[in-house]
Amino acid sequence: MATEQRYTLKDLVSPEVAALVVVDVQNDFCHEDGWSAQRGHNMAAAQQAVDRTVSLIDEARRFQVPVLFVRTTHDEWNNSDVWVGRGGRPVVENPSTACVTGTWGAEFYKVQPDSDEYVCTKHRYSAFTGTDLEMTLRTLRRQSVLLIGVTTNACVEFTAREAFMREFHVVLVQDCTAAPTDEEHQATVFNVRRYFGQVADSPDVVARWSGETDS
Amino acid sequence: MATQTSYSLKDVVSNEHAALVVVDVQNDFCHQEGSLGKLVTDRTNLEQAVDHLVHLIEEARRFHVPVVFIQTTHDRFNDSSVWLRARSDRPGGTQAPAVCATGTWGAEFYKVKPRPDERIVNKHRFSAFIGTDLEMTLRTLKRESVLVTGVTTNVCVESTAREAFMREFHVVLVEDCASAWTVEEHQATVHNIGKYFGQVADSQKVVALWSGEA
Repeated sequence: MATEQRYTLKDLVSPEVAALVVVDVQNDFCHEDGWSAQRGHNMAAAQQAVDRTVSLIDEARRFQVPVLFVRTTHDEWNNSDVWVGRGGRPVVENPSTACVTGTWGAEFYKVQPDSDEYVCTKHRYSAFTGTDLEMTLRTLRRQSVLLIGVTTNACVEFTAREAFMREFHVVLVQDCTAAPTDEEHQATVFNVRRYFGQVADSPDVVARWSGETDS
Repeated sequence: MATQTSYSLKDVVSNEHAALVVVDVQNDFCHQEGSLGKLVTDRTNLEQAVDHLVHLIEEARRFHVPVVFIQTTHDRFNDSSVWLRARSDRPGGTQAPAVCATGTWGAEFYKVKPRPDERIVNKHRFSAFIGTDLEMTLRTLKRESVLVTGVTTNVCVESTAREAFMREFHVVLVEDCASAWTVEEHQATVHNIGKYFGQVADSQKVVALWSGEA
């Protein structure tokens, strides 16, 4: 990679340098009985994205691309006033929040890390904040992150932006991410493509892993 | 605290502001059969420090000072070439013993016992702030100062103390609750913290301030 003038999608998704980072595919964000659904969000887009996510994870394992699972939890050790009170929300002792530590809502939805795969627990939108994700990516000599999961414009975009700021190439696998509305999703796709990363669909990524596509 | 211009030890250790941070008191570092602990020829200082620390933890609970336990673990997701290189530079070279492998007895706590309602922070480097949610937890608990203790004084305790200061926490080294492989190493840390960025106290003094006796 180092001597090239321009990084193709094939360069960035290569099993030599890439990690697949799966963000917040948890019951509270995806399941029809979860926290988001109970607040009136339509889960259809998220569930379709998860179906493609499950398949992309299988392909990543087949081509030996490390799969890193990120999940959110919230509890008394991280529910700060700033977090709980964001955007003018009331600061209360037991805030209504998604993914309370130890609950069903915090469990993974349809994706299942193998016992030898990495799981990162975070408490903020970005998967780099207060976690060892960067240390793990460096240890595994990863230079690029392929981001998938939910929601596109919150946790996925926070993580994508911070990955870029920490000197990782970013690929947003758009059909494996979802937001409550298409407008929100598309705004992230626009920002990533225009300012700091590449945007691809999962068949494009798999075609490069399998050698069916050369660039 | 906010309106004062100088902070006494009493201000900084107050249960309103302080957290007790217990660094790496684990079998591999401390137990006589631990991978590094077994290399210690004179265990006097180490055992005294741990005894004092066990007592200080009980007092902290009595006076409602949050206790945060730092636990090092190492595995293939964090044993980078940079980290392994640093280990190979230690006595024993590339044969230097592995320390606190994830899930092993060596990584378990030595003599200190976190309660179910206390916080354990898992780290993989010297500083307890690197790749962890320690700062997030301290801010959530509205802590302004950290009382640092544990092993070894000049490696993980000092790295944590320095980074605490860089992240805008007052630092107190509880010197009789920390231990290094040699007295000289321990004293160098005491000097650096006392001279440049924190306060140094012994545990009796801290408890006296908590109890209002001092």
